[in-house]
Amino acid sequence: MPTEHSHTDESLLELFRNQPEQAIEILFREYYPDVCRAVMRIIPDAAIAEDIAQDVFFELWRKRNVLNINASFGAYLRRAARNKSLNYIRDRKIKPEGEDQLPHRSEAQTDANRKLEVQDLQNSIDQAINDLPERCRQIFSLSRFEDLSYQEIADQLGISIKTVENQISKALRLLREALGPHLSWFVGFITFIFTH
Amino acid sequence: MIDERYIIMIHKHLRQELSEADQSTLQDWLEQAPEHRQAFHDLEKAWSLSNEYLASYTPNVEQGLNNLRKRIREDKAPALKLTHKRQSAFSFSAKIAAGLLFLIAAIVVWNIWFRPADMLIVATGPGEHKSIPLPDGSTVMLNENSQLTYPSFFRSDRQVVLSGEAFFDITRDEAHSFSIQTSNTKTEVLGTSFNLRAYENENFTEVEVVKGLVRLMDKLGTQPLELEEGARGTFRHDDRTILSDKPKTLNANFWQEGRLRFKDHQLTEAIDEINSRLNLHIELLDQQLSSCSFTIGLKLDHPDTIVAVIADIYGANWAKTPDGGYTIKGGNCNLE
Repeated sequence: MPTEHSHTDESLLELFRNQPEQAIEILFREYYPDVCRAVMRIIPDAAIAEDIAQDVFFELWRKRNVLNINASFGAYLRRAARNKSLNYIRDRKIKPEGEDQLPHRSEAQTDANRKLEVQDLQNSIDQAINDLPERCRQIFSLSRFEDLSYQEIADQLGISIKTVENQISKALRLLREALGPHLSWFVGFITFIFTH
Repeated sequence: MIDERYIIMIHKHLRQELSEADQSTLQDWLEQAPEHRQAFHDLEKAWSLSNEYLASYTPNVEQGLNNLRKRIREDKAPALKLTHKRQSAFSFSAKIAAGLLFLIAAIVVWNIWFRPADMLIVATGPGEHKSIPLPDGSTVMLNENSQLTYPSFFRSDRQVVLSGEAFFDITRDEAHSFSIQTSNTKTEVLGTSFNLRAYENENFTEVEVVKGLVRLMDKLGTQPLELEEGARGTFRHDDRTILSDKPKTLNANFWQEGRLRFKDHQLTEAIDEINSRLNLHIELLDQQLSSCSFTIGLKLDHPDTIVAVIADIYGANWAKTPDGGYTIKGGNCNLE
């Protein structure tokens, strides 16, 4: 995630002040997929995730005259997405374990001429994480994708740090088992290097 | 079953928030057993793969945007806390033009600042060399059976991945260190040229520094060793130790230079090196030549020619053996 921001955001902010509707359309096209994905990593249901993501942008519209964006739009939207997802989990106790659906896939991805093995690896990764027990997956996602510390996760979910540690190590153990056949891949190694 | 304590340490290491004390506890634990290292590898890879979670999922943007537009149209409630409306000095069309300009600027800047770099992979087959220009002006010469992975542009730190062997000529940039990851080591530089050999089927990783300063460490970055110009660093995979020495001449990049250089070598040590670098079997039959001084830039050529050149220096005779080796016989150190 970009940490630096520049006049991109300044010019967008300017546009946002003067023509908020236009600015929100630009932001939507740019960030909607990321925001959906961020929500879905916490709540693995495409329909709910897309609703929540649209809420995030609608709220941006509602707050167009009061908003004081001091990081970047991207960071703001990601944070809003996370908070909304966490609220959702807190408000409605999310579906019991085992009922998780696989994410809906758009046509483009399923029929595309992507290599079978890439698809296969992607499916294995999605499957492996989707298959984690609900709480375990949530905690893992908050650490992996939202970059929250143990303390922050514990605070957000109202649980102890010890529980966070238990769930993280459980998640890693289960992922190691589930991804076993793919772990010798050089691909994984490369990804590791460049995500750090 | 791996102790949860260590899984958590590995996790913290992956998040780069492991304390120094724990770092060495983890290092000790890794050295204890191959299963520990296996677990470390597996978890590291599982962690990196997990980053691709839902990567292929894409929502329907147009549909979402239509929903949002509808909600915005129907939103009769006043926007939260209206501020004073300023009377704009610009005409409507000027505003549109400015809007378009911002839009274009936003897209351009987005592309420059936030677009993720594509990963490029260049590989060589047997006997093949490739010169790869990197986006920062550095050059990498890739030896045979090797592979280099690098981003289409560098954003902050310059990082590449090497499997096999390459000669790096790195453009100096104090603010952005350049690092090369291999299966077992990490090599960090600011601006230098050096040869890095890290073939998967060999049990060592070797660096020879032609110019500048190079820092060689294991992949955790825990045992950095600084190598100066002319030094050679070797990381042994079995006991994970790094050694350094200063050879009389640097020959690791002979494959690129097309020459093996010797300076005041004893003939026997030179022949040992020629044999191991070129995979030849040259044998000195008479002891009288073994400690002769040998100084030459030996051009890589057909083995027959190489042996003939060496024999010629000392007025010796040479022959080919039935098993493809060579023998050198007779001659003396100071040929008048």
